[in-house]
Amino acid sequence: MLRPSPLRRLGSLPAPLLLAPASLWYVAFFLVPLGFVFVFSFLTSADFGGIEFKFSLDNYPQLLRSAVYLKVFVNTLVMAFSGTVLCLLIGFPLAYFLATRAARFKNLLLVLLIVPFWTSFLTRTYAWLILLSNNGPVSHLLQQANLLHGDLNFLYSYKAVLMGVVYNYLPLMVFPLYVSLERLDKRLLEAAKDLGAGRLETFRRITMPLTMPGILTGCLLVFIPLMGEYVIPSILGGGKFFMIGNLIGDEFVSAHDWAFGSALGMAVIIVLLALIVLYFRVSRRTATPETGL
Amino acid sequence: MNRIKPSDLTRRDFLVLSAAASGGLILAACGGSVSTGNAAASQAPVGPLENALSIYNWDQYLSPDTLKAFQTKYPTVEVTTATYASNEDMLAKIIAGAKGYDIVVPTGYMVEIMIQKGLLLPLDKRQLANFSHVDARFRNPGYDPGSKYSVPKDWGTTGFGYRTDKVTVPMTSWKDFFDNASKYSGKVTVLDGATETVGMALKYFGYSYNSDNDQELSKAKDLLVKFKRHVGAITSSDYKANLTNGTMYYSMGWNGDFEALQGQTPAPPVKYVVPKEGSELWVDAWAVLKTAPHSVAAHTFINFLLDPKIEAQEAQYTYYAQAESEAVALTPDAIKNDPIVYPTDAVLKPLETRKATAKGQKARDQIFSEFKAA
Amino acid sequence: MIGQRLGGLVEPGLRVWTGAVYVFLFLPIVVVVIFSFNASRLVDVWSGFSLKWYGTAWTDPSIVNALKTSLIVAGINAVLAITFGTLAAIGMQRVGRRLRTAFETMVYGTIVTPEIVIAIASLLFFVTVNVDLGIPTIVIAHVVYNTSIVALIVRARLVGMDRTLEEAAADLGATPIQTLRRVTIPLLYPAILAGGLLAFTFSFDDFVLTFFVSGATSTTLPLKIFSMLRFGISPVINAVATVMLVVTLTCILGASLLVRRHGRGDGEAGLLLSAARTASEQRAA
Repeated sequence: MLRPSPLRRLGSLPAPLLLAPASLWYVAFFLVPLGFVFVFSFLTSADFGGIEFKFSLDNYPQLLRSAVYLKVFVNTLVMAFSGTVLCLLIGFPLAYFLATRAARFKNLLLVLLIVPFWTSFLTRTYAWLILLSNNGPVSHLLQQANLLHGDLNFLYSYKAVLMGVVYNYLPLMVFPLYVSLERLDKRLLEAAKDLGAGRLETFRRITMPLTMPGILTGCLLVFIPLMGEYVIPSILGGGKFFMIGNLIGDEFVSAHDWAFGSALGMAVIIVLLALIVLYFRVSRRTATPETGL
Repeated sequence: MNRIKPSDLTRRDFLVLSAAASGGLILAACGGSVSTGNAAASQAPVGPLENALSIYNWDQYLSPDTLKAFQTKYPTVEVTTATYASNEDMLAKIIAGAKGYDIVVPTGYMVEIMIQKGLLLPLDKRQLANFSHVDARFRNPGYDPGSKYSVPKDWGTTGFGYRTDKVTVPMTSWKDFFDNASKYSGKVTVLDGATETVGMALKYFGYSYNSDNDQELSKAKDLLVKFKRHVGAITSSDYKANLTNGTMYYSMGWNGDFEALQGQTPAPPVKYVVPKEGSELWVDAWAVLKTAPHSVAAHTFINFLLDPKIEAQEAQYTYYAQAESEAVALTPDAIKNDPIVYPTDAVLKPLETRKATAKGQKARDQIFSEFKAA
Repeated sequence: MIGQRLGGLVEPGLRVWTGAVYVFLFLPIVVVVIFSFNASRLVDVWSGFSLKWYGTAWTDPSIVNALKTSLIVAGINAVLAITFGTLAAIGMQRVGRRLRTAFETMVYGTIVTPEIVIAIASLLFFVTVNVDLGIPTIVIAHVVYNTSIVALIVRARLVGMDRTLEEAAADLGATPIQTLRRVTIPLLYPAILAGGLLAFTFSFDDFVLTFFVSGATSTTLPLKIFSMLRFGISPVINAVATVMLVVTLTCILGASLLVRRHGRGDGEAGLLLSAARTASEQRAA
């Protein structure tokens, strides 16, 4: 727990003032714009685009009127969930390995983990189009190794989208996992071994519960932005896997239906808020004294 | 602001335009509305030439040579270009208040929409002397009677192309396009545009490309939703590369793109088809935004582009048909005699130009969303 | 017994797994960089080393303008993010619990909200209040997210910092502002810089948000790449992307070196981890 600094009681500079610039910025350019989304969801779109300041409750029922929007929502939830689980499965061993290295390697490995993120996100995603195209290097390699007969046909598919998701979101999962795993008191693991527990049992009954906060944080950090993912399904999925992010983007850019797009945006915000609240409830329950987390 | 005539504009449009293709047919009527010149243009004196110009255009739609020639002739004008990938993208940006652009390049139906929304500046024909070169057939389009707000840049067709080595039975219609999908599942692409894709589904049934009829649209939707699972990609730009490398076997697309494919070395064995049932005949136009900060430079540029020599140069870069016969005459034979670029009358007959209504566009957007989500 | 045998496989298994993941992560980068030097136009067949694509990119005014715009936006955004974020981090240490929790919620809110949602919200906002879309609107939108990044990183540093120096300064009669200026901030210097460079990077690379709030003449490099990519992959794009990689790598390595010289030698990663650690601590508190 942190003590408030004694300095806050001194003199003429009230601490809340330090928060003012950022707070004002957040209110003006984050909360207010979100408020606009709320307001616009109750207006009508003008013909061919733009907005008419005419009150309308019709945008929300429209969400439910066609099964499509519900379908897109569900598809997005499924993709976000799958992506999160994949990131967790792939990232956990990675984080474990990193957490158990000597100090000098830890930093290097962690930095290497972020380096890919310093190329343009778009180019990285398009690079996969080169790599995995039917006459690209991966295809050639597999064909020469006799592991592939015929066309690769990996791109423009759901698995390509998931691969792109893991590729871009893995560090968000690995970092919190790493933090949790690193703080794990190794003596607990030794104690379990001494008491006769096998590796699997130790993992199940000690490692997992103690790293649960890290797992939950990682899942949250991946799942929530993933819900709004826009570019990956469009590029790697050939535009065929329509997610809520694409739908909202389309409503604003192609269909120019700002009112309806705003209603969709509100729906996403509400779902995400619910998830965050859920996360806080669950994490409060799993935070145990021993972890110090 | 112009009142849009409710008469049967689409049919008249294609008659007007198909005459230009054969180059020799004399047109019977020039369209019912006889508005001459630019009553709406201001009669104020023409201002001085500004020193900048901002063009908002499709990507790869203006030859760098043309730009260089313009800069050489008018060295005081600094030209910047920005690009968009669809009419809707462009409209979205303009509606959102993106300021600073002078020239935009909307397709005919989008010109009409922008006129309705008051986004375009009435053209000052005094600054467009070269407008005289534009063929009579193009001077009075249904989407902009009297060419008050726009001048034609080029025109083309939307259809589809297929790899003749992968699809051995010849394809000639939308029926072939949609019905063969199950045989070539995952190897078909459609354009990423509600207008085009829904429109072609309508054509499959022989309905009008511009149909606003609920039942007809509903049938189009059902077709598209059933077809979705065989779709390889929904793209307006990737299809060229994918047809070339064989990832996709047939794609909906625009004629100029397929013409460009033929110019590649080696040229992939792709055949372009304007389907029997009909398709879209579109005209892209130069227009000036009402909020254009450099309207004199904009007019100067458009006038420069209307020069037949320049148009012929453009055709060799974009591979699209020009709206001036003199320009056509100056175009190399390879392009001018190519039926992909300048189709025959017979091919053009069943084509329609797009005329958008708010209700129809909304319906198309909705259907397209359902298609994408299917 | 089997457990023991399998147990022996765990360590090498993890090694292989980690190796595979890193190969996976770096493969596209390597491809992008290598093919930026490809002599031919094809992007999947190597035909010799050449720098010509860099030349093409450099002589294309739209690319150079996009680079300039990106640098300006990222730079201004970094300065603002550093200012607001550092003040916020220091403030968070000193305010009462309730205000801190409320502010923190806002900080996390800005980080966790999907970009598309912020993008449309910002667009609606700017259009309604009639602000022209352009460099200012891009900067404004970017600063929201990046202030939070800086705040978290600087706060992590603050938490681990030795408070006695500040208290000593106060005992010696320094006013709060003086303490701030001459003790606290210099001590935070590496974290501030690290946060600023990260803010620069995020802004430099941003796409979705920028796409919605940019105007006619404010095309950034990612937007330019996007419009070029619609017509297929070309080595010019690879060249531009490689340049972007070099720019951001230089920033991050620069940050690392500065941290090493002034700080505890944690390095970049250390700071990011402290931020993550502090974040989880605060939540359980």
